[in-house]
Amino acid sequence: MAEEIALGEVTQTVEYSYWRLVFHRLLKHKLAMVGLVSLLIIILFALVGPFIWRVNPFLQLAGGEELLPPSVAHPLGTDDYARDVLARLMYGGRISLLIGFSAATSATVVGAVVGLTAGHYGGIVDTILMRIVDILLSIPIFPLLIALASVVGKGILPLIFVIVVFGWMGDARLVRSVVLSLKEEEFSEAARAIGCSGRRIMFVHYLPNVMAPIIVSTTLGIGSAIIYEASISFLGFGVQAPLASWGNMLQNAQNYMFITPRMVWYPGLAILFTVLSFNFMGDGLRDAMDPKLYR
Amino acid sequence: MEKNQILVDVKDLKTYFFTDDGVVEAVDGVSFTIKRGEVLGLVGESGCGKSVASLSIMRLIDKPGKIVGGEVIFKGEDLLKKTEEEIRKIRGSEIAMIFQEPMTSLNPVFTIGNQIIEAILLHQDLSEEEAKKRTIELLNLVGIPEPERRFNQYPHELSGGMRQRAMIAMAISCNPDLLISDEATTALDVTIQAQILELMKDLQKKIGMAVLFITHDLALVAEMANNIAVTYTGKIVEYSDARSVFKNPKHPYTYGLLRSVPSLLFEETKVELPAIEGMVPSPYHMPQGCHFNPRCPFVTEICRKEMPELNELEPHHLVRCFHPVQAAKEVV
Amino acid sequence: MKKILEVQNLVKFFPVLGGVFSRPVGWVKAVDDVSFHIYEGETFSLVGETGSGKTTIGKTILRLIEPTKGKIIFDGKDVTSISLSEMRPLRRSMQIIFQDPYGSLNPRLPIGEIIREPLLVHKIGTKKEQEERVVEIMKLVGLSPEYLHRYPHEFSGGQRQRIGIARAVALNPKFIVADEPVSALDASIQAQVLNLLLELQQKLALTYLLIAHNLAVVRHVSDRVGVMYLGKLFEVTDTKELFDNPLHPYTQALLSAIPVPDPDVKKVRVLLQGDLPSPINPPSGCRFRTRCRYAKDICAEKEPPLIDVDNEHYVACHFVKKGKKVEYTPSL
Repeated sequence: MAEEIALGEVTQTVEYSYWRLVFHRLLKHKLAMVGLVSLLIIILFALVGPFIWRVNPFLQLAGGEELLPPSVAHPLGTDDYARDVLARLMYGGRISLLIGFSAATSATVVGAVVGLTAGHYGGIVDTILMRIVDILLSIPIFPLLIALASVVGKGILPLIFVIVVFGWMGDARLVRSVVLSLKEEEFSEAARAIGCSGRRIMFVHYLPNVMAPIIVSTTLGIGSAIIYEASISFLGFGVQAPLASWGNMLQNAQNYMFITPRMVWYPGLAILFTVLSFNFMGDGLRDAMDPKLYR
Repeated sequence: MEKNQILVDVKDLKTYFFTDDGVVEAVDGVSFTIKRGEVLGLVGESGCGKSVASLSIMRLIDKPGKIVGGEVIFKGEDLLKKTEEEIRKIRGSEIAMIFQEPMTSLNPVFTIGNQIIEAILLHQDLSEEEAKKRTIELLNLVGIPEPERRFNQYPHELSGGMRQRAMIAMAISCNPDLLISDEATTALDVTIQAQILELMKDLQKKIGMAVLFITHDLALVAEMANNIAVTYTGKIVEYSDARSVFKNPKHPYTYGLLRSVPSLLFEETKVELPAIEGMVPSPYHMPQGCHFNPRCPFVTEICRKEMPELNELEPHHLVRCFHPVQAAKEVV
Repeated sequence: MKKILEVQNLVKFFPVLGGVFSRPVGWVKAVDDVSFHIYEGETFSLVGETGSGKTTIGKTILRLIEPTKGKIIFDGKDVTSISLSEMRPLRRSMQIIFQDPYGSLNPRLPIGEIIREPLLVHKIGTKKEQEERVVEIMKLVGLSPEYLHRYPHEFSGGQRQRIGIARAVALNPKFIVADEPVSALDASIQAQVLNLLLELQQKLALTYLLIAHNLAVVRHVSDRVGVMYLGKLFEVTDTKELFDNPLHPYTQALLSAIPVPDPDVKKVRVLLQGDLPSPINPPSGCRFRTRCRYAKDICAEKEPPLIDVDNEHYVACHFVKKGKKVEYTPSL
């Protein structure tokens, strides 16, 4: 038996897993905490709100009730169809957040798989994949977005599809560059020396090391997905009436901008705060996950 | 300039790092002296504080580090009390430093000639013409062939050994009184290292400068140093002249180290070396009492409770231990 | 004695890409026609400085780098050009220990998983059996099994190296390439790890190819040594013979360059002039001639072959003949 090293063997006595370390660092980042708290408020607003403020967002009140200013019965007033704005804002939040989250996550998954493959295999595979990325990146988004949207149709699923198609490239490049640097690390060579297959190396060895930038990217991506949603719905595609989303509420509010500007403020500010919060969180996460954290 | 005059007198230097995870006492009460023209070897492994000590002398410690105590008397004046401007005048001209990685210490976008001239012009009142001449002389002195041509080359065009020579040229350009060499040969091949060591010995005699030679390599320090200070976790544990440290090591750490490091002096092959058990403790979990106690084969109760002082066991031989190694064993 | 590994005329050139279309504009001749063999159960060391090609050979033998030309015969089987999937089952018999204890372990996997992985990949045993084996191996290398779930960053350099060793022996290989296994470790830890390697060799009947630049370490653990320079093998013989009787001028220079931890030993050095030539454009004939003090005309014209001058003492020099007859004379 080799000498049992009688020591404080491991340098730290507390079990310090990577995530715990990240969590601690995140708690110290003030801006991230602000973002986190406001996000929680927003999410609670959208998810739990409707159980408290039990008003039907689709219910059109009697004529004459359109565009009413805030009152006790309708704290944010009513819209042009005499529907309660507060309720619509809550339900709209659900939709926007859902779209933002699923689109961002899907885009990241697609991007990560492409990046891992291109980075690991290199050569012709890498070249082809990266040229596809280049091509997609050089196409002006909005015209093509509209073109695509008109092909796939209107509605939520097509909307998510469109956002993913235009959103995965950034992640692909990011993941690929991380993989390229990981390939140089000795543990990658060690994995090959043991006899690991390419797939195993990509998913067991590279992927966990790529999680950090991926998570940051997703967090920031939710913010931009929500803006995309708002833009697309604003243009008339995406979420269709009578469903509410912050984006189509904005679109609606256009017509009444000069009469009742507050109709613009509500969804506008909602989007602003949500995206800002995600951005703050993302920044905080990026700093907390900095690989120089330990080595 | 008299020999045997004390050039540097470091007294009870303390440099601590205030990190999120706790306070690291990187240098914790270190004292040593260097006379003019003398070479002091500062030996230790990672975490012993030797590099931090040298950076403290040069006042190059940045947050979260801070020099919290002690004095560094250089030519009669305390460097720790000087203003930033005064220190800048001393850095590079009276005290020079060379590092382990010449590739990162040299600016890649300037020619080496340019960089050396800059060092000269910063501290001396010469014309550019004169500075250039001096630079070529220096490049010659450090053994760089074709100095006129090399003058115009960039660091990446030179080999590792050449770069280190260029660094040395820059360091001695203003005839410093003290040269601090921090693991300057660690990254070099053995044959190149030999060249650089011979160069340093040669220059040291020619210019008469003192050297603070920092390394983890015992063999190097045996060759270069007049006196040796062995450091462990921020404290000096043994301090004497080179011969005494090698032939008559008193501290269990020094003793253990000398026996365990593979060297050309061992005749037998494939026999286990008497290794020191355990590892260097983490600065955040320093053991109570003597820092070496968990690894010491001679440990006793008092070692686990109190930190021994640095005592003069024999004339000019200081040891920080409650029970120094008695046998004047010929370990080498 | 049975030969477990035979390397015949191994060549590895790395392309230097340039131009608009990234075409090879030159070749780094990292390993250029190297032949040697290793006997079962011994420790064979390859020593050399930067650019010698020793690390490249180690990795090429394991097919982590693809050879350009030549043959690699492992345990009687020609593995030079077999496909990587045919190579996979062979990896159970040949493993590698890396130099960098910090980069060679995946920071995101707990060490239990790192050690278990080889068993998983080769589908050996049930999960429970694999876990038991991991505990067994951890104890074998001196790691406490209770730390199975910890991550690499929680361990010191020496311990991480033990984890790397555990990973390498998990499959019970016959042959291990140890690439500078202790270079990155502190002096007081090197002996521990070297002792562990010696112990494992005994217990597990291992054959080592040790790659190192530190001749003192090599002397301590090797049976036979090969000296490399700029992609060529210059001298191969028993450890004792190499250190007692180095025949090649480069070996002599290398040995004289090593500092010795004894201040009384006055080093008489054979200093090599100049720098290492470029591996892209090595000198014609004998690659060492530009720095050799015995170089004559023939050295530029013809490359000296590696010949057995006496009882498996191989030397590649025009002036060392059979019967260990040494005929070099200093040139001016």
